Amino acid sequence: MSAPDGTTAAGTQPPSSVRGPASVGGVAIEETFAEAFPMRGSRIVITGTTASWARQAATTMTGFATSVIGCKCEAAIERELAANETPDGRPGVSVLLFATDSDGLQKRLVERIGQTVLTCPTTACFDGLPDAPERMPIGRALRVFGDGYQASKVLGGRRYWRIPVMDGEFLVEEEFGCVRGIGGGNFLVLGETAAGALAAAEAAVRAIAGMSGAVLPFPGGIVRSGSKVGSKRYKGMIATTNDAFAPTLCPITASDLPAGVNAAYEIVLDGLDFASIAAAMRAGITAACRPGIRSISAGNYGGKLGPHHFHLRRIMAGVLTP
Amino acid sequence: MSDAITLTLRRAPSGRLGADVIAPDRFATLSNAEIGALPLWCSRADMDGDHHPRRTVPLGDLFGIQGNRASTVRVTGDLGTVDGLGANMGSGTLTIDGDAGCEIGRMMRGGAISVLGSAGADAGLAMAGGSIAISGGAGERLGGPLPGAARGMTGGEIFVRGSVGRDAAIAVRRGLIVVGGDAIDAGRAMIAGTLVVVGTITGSVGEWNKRGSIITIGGASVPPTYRYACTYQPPYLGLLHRYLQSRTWPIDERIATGRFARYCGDVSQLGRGELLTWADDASP
Repeated sequence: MSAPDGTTAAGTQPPSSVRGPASVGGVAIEETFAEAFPMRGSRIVITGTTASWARQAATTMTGFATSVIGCKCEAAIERELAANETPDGRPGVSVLLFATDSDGLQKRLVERIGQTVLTCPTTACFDGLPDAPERMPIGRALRVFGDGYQASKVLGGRRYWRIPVMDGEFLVEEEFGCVRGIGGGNFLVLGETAAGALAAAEAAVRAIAGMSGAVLPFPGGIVRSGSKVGSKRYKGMIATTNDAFAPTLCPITASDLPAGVNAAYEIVLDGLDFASIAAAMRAGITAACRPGIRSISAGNYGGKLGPHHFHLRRIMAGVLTP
Repeated sequence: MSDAITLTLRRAPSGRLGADVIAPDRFATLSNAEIGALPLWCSRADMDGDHHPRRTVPLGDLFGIQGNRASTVRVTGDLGTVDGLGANMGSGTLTIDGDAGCEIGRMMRGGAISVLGSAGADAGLAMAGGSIAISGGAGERLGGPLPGAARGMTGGEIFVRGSVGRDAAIAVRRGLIVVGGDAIDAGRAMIAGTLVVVGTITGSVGEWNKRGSIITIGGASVPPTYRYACTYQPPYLGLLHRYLQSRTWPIDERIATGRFARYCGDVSQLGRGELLTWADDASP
């Protein structure tokens, strides 16, 4: 599980009025919940002359953006966009990027669009949340790269900057929308073998891929290094290994792993709203419930730190609201 | 209160008729009788008699009025000599069912005007916002300035399906003008803004242009004060094409798929303006 401080811990289940299934496909759904935190999020639409170049820019932009602890933001590709879905009629990719506050989000967007999209051949960059009331002047900051040769155009009340570059122009929207998102939705796949747990986690990622409003910021969408708050031994460490879910430490720590579990993987989700994350968790958990998986769990802090609680059984019962 | 107001011109005026008062946002709060009492400027021949001292006539004397207190207005009849329709309007919808006279949408700030025929000279004169869509052609000085003013249109959008007269987009400061047909002497003294001419621009193009964008598919005679830069596919034109589609105003696909020769000018001015002329199709 990932939170602004990147830590995980097992906790107790707060009261819930809706009871969901205790198992799916023979896999136990633990009566627990994922605890998530408020973040600020933006949707960035990147287009290019080909889907390949749009994807290249998006991949570069979302690199080193797994956790706010070390990367200052969390980002991933949301989905690929057909030409008829983009503002300029070219193939594109939508990216979701999250930071802990608006200032941080704005800085990360200027840095990342400036260094990874502006620099990428043929691309253009647009706001994917035009209706969001909170606006950030991203293109306005980037326009100065044009050294006075940049030109602006207004279409439908939205301003765009045309910045001259060596293959023609980089087109970027002046303002990007910002919404109150959620970071750190998660679930844990507890398997009998490492290979089986990984296959189930991969199936969960495939099921979530392309769903609107939620992304998986970790490598391939899967985390193997779940963490807990602080350290038992080293002062100053913000987060250290979540020994409760480390199978090699079962006999010497207060393990939360059921008997017979030899590997666990975590799927971490950030989203623009609660329902998007809940829907993605439901799809992912459903896909992960397959032979060789003992149970599905989630990381939390006992409900004391994060205001957003994703109760696994409620979600599997189809309740996708808080 | 009704959903819409319909004005029907009973007979074509013998001279020009100044109908600045016909604007949807103005009608939104007026009763039928109050609308009928609004003054129209007219020539003497359209009054009770040539001897009559008045220079205005109540709207109700010349137009049949159906409906009241609505910001959706339809005007029908032979309106080719009726000028100033939609002048100063700030919101609402005005549909002109046929040709319109001069200065439609003069200084308008918002709302939408739709002309189902052609419009006379000075359409969108000094407009600051809103949109004008003209199904036919338009006269001279489309989106131009008021007499003696330094700036023409400062915002909004004008779409003309047909051809336009001289001096389209003259002194435009901001905004978008799209011409589906041809233009003559277009883009003169543009300060900024965008003029798209799907057809051909004859005569002068973009003289004294500072920062304006002039885009043509049919071609234009490049002025000597413009310098060739390169031939490329401006991503902005793909955005513009999609935007016009979304406004149900589609134009030639080549604007999105083509490569354009870019000329910088007018170098006798700032030289930050551009003339983009369609060169070839970029599709493999």
